[in-house]
Amino acid sequence: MKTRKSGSKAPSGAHAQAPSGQPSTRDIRRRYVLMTAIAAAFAGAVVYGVAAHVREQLHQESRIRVAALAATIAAGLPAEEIRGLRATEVEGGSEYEALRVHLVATRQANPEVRRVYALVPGKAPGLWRYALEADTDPSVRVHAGDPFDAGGRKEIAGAMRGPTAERKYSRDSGGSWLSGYAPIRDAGGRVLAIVGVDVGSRLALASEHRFLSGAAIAYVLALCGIVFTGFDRYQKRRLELERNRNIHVRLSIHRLAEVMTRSGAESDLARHALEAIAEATGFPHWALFKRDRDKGALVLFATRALNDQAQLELAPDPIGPEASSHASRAAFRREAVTRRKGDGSVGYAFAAAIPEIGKDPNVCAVPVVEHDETTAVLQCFAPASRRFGADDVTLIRWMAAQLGQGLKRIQLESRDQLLASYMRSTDEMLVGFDLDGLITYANPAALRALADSRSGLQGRGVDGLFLVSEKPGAAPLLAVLRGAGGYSGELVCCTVLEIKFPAEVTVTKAVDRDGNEGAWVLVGRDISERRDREDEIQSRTEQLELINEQLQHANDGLAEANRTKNEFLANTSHELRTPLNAVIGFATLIEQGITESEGERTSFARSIRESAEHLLIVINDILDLAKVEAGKLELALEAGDATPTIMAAVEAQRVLALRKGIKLEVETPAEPLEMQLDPARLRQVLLNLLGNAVKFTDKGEVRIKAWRKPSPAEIHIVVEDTGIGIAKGDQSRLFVKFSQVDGSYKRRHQGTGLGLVITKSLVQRMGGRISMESEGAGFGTRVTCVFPVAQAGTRMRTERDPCLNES
Amino acid sequence: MSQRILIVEDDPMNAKLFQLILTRKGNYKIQITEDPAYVIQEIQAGTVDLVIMDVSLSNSQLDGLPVDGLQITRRLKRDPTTRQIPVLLATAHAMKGSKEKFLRESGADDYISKPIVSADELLQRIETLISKRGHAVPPADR
Repeated sequence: MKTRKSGSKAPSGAHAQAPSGQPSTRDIRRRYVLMTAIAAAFAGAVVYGVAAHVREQLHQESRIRVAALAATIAAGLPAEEIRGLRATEVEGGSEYEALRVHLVATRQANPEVRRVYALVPGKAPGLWRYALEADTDPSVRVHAGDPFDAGGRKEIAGAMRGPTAERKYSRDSGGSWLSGYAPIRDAGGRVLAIVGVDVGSRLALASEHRFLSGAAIAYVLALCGIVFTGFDRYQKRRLELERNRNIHVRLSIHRLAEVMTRSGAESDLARHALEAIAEATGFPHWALFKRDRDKGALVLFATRALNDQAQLELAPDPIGPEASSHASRAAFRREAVTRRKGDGSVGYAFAAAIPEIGKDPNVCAVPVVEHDETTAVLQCFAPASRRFGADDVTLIRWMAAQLGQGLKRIQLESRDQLLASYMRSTDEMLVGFDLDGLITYANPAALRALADSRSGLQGRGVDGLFLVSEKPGAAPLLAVLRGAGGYSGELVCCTVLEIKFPAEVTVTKAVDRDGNEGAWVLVGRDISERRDREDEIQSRTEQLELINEQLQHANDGLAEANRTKNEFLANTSHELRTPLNAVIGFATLIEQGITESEGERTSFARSIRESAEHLLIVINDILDLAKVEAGKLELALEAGDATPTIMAAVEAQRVLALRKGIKLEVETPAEPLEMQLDPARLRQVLLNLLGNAVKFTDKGEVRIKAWRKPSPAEIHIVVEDTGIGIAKGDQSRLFVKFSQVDGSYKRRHQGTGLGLVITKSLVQRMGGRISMESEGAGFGTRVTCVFPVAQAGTRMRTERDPCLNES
Repeated sequence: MSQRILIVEDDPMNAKLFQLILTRKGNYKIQITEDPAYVIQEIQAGTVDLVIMDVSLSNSQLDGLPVDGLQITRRLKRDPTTRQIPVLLATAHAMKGSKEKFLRESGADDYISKPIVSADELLQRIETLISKRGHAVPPADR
């Protein structure tokens, strides 16, 4: 607002120049009308004066003529005799008649004369009596001695001194007349009577009228001359003014155009433009709104001759069909909108802040339109007395268009500058080349990346610098571009010094305003660092994924181990408690003497022993496992034959097999099965395997086979059964400690689930391996143990087996 | 007339021990079985006043599927014709929380852990259950 403030005050000099030097056509017209009116009035006054004077002259002449006529008649009448005709009785006398005939003759001699009469003084001064009257009509005839009614006749008294006439015409139904009087004197000069004569005014008035008509005609002619002259002068002056104004407007337009080509800040440009526009149009008060591209509303951008308060009041409402402010309406309609004084639709409260505009201003708002889109609005305010004519609006519209072009140019210039500085400072390579592949432009980044310090890139071919592929015979870039119309992706840059690096580029066609393809533009960046980084990230990611997988695996194993451990504890507790129940129960019975015989007591004691023995087995299993866990299970390995151990294990299980009604078969070769073994531990292994086989087989057979495999030299011991088998999914769990196939309480076979774990460990400690196969639940089970054949000098394995620690 | 107790137990030595305690120290008539169908049949026949139920049963099958003591109890407690007979779980599964878990899962009336250290306590529990007969609440459907 502060900058605008100074802007609105500065131009007052220029502002004063325009309107005072260039009065409006209206002013001129008003002035000439006034001058013409004055001239016409003056002419009228002159004509009137002359006419009045001439008319007075004519009137005087008429009076003199009437007075002279009266004097002539008076001279022809004898004074003494007239004096004698005072009374009525004289009528009919010869003397009287003679006089009357004389008088009648006199009257008839002059057709203008209406009446002729002789009067004698009455008894009082100013009173007159008729002596004689020259009228022949008896009905209106007066008689001698009748009193004379003077009426309005004022000059009759003057007749005593000499001939005279009335100043004014008298009038009755017969017409108007002028009365004249003359004294009748005796020989001594005394006035004895007077003669009155009434002369009709027709002739006199006719001449007066003739004169007045002439005067009027003369005046009208003069008026015509005056008006014509005035109009002619007005026209000349107007044309001259218009010519001046045209020159002025043209100069102003020129100035505006010149301002519009200047560079500088947009706001400065707008301010100078408003100056030029104000000078060109003669309207001092202006506002320029710019359309905010984001919000779409008009924002006050520059003003001229509008003070701060007025600027504050200028806030156009949103652009739209409902907009009430003239600027917004103009912006929406994309055409000029004017307001005339008295238009009540919009009040301009702000205008009150500017006395020379007043509260009821004329307004003209003109949009600046670009591509059917309003980009700005130029608004002018004028006092109620200055109306916007069609010429004004056209001029303002023209100015607005100029202003719009200027603003657009500034925007384009700043965009160009931005673009140029971007191209200079960016790290991206920008390379322009023509349709023949010759480089026309390369920005500093491209020069740094591709050229050496001495040579530029101008004029070089792109195909030597950018390789779509390094393979021999690959299509050059230009061919690819011609084929595909563009390129986007990675390629290899080959610098002037033949150094290669990978780059990611996009090549597009550059099109001029008319859509002609004239060149190619390549934008790209060196991605060698990025590629290194990507490789590194890739390998790190893979490492992390591997570690993560291992952790996940370990975690799963831990969770599983924890679960099986809890399960194992519960099962172990159960296995320990079950025989204890019998031990405690039977002991209680004996203790409390609730026995019926000595044999029963013995039976109870046996039950206690058997249960305790079972308890011992369970405890031993657990202890063995604890040793296996700790890696402290000591084996006394020696070279020897495995056959006796196998036979002993079979015999130990034979009773149980017999009891269950299943066959127990054994196949061993005739030659000894020499291997490294701890006979007690091997027996434990076989007992466990055979025990399981018998336990899980309800019918059919259990078979143990042993043989020596020549190559590689190994001892194979296989235990097969036709029992319940093991589901495929469970087979892997069998050699894991604490695990049993069926963890629920409906388990049909008792045991701690430790046997196979201990067995596997023992087999491994003897240098062997163990595996289990089953075709699935219900198809029997086959367990295979493989041991190395004993060799002379084989060292005893007493060291701890590493695999024990990890499981 | 002496009360009749049906013992469901897979271990013959423990079954015999129960029988001895309950016949010598109490005055009960004892039947021993591993067969769930027999249990249901006897209860429905009205010849049973209480069931002592083991949880781990290695040989018991019902409708061709292996079942444990909890499943049998649940079956008994869901069936209106068998639910009124009290069931005492007697099991060597005696980890912390086992009692609550088993009673909740099976709907059994009481629980006693093996080893049974006091025969008198066992007898007193049985006495209490029989006197409260028919007050057991069936388990909620799952």
